[in-house]
Amino acid sequence: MWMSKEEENKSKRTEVDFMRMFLKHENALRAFARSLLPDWDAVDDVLQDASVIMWQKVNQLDDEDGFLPWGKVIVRFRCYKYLEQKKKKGAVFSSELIAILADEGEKTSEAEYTQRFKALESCLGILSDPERELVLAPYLYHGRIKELAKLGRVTENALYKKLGRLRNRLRLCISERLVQS
Amino acid sequence: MKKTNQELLNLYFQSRASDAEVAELEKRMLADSDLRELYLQEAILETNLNSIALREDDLTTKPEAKPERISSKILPFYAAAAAVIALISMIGFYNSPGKSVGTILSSELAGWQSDQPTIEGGEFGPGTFMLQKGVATLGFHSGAEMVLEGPAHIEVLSEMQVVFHYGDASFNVPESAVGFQVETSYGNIVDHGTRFSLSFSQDEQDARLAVGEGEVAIHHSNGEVKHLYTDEKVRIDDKQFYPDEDQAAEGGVFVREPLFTRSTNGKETSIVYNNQRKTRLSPDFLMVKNAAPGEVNRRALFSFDTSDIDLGRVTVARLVLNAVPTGLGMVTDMPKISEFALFGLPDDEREQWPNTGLRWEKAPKVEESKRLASFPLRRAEQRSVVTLDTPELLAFLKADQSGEVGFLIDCETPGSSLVHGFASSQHREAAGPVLELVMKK
Repeated sequence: MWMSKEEENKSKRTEVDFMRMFLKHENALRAFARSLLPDWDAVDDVLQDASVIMWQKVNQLDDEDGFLPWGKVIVRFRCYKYLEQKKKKGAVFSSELIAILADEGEKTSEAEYTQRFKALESCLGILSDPERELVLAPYLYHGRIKELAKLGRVTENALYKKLGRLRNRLRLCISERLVQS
Repeated sequence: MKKTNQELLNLYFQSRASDAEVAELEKRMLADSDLRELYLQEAILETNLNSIALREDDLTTKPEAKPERISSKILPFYAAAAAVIALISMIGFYNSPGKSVGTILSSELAGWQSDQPTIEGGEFGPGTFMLQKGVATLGFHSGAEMVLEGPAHIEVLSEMQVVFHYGDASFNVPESAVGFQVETSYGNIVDHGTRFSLSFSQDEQDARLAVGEGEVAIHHSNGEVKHLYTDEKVRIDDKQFYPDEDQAAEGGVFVREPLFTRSTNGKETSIVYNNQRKTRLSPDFLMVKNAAPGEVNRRALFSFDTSDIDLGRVTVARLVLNAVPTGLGMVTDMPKISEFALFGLPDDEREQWPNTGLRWEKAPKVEESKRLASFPLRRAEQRSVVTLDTPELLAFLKADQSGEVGFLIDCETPGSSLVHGFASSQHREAAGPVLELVMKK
């Protein structure tokens, strides 16, 4: 049977091709999922499921440039499923708000994710080493702020306030960088 | 008090929001598309920080020293996709529990060079520490505490053993840590429950040991053993012990009165009335000026993070400023002495100002701030150290609730063209503002 060049490319997509595309857009997909889900555990669960589906369906993707919007649609519906199953656990937004956030989040371009990542990398440079460590600590210690506060002999609230101030500085800096660029 | 949008977003992304707060955030987001945009940006920031944290951790920390953490970079078909294992492993994760032997209790203006976490409150494992400047306190899980002054080089072997290459240190060893050992190139010091200080010169000519209280045993590498008791001192070199006759010798750091010092960490700026910041202000200086008609009058703002200090225990507070010449304007047409005032900023959102681009009209105002001290500067003395330690300053600090204390400096003597200056933290020669706090024992 005759195949167009495009169809030939689609059918030849290997694991390596898929991994390359997935890794390229993983951060954006995680950010999109985080906007719809209440915590990182949920994001991890959904991304696992979504990545399996993406792998199974990758040959339906017409064009590699369309990976991110295509991936977001898959993530979106896995998020709905997850929230439906776990809706009794913890405080989550209503399905009405989630749908609006998903619509608006789907419009965020690949370029914006990249620019914001680069701006953050650059803005972390304005922090002192201990400040930078503190800003990144919640992700390395899996949110063990209470423990960090205890170890540092400060109140949990004081540590959150300090983190809040540091993140304000980062937000201001990122806005400035984005305006400059 | 009603929470701001940003406060609700912070609580939500920190997984600390109550059901009522989530409901309030939802209500506001449904009505406000700008807030939804802010929310989506916050989700991206959160994700990017997470990603950078995991990446840096993978790049910089040895697997065996890692704290337990959860990585999300797991794909379910990982095992099947053998061809991409190498690719995955580049962003892979480790999950080995870290072997913690202690906690960094304080890190006062400390410059570290270490393969270990050096953040205050961070746990550390066995490894090398080089403290290039400042003072740090290491608390071992055994109960022993070591106050170290840079420059110093040590290796932590366990919660009961360190190798001391050089530096000054004080040790406080409670009963739980009796037997704590400090190895030096001249021999081992075994503590029998005491406080002692050790000063080891970088060129390793000799070491001085002074016992503040209790008993230590020193096992010299020549085989000799010496016991020292309360208030006894000894000098050691590679050959033998010597009585330390120099009563004035300051031995090692002996911090009886805990002293905290804070720099601004870059939280400082100047403002100019006409807002021509680029042409009128320099990041090297905190500029102050009071002259008619006032178009280029200036004020200085700076703040200190005190969130990790128990301000209730502060007994003495000193603010140290370095006056420096800005090179702007003429000294000769100024009054002989100019008076300056230090103001404390209100303990609310007015403390939150941006380091860059702050406009005069948006900046905290003198009339809304609390006068804490005044001080004179002579026109003939453009370089001087100003130390302020008034009761008002102490009371202001002790009343702080936000974990950050902000100050404003204004000139109260009308002058002429001269622009007064204080060193900022970026000044090449002088140190920026420093807050010194003496704590109750």
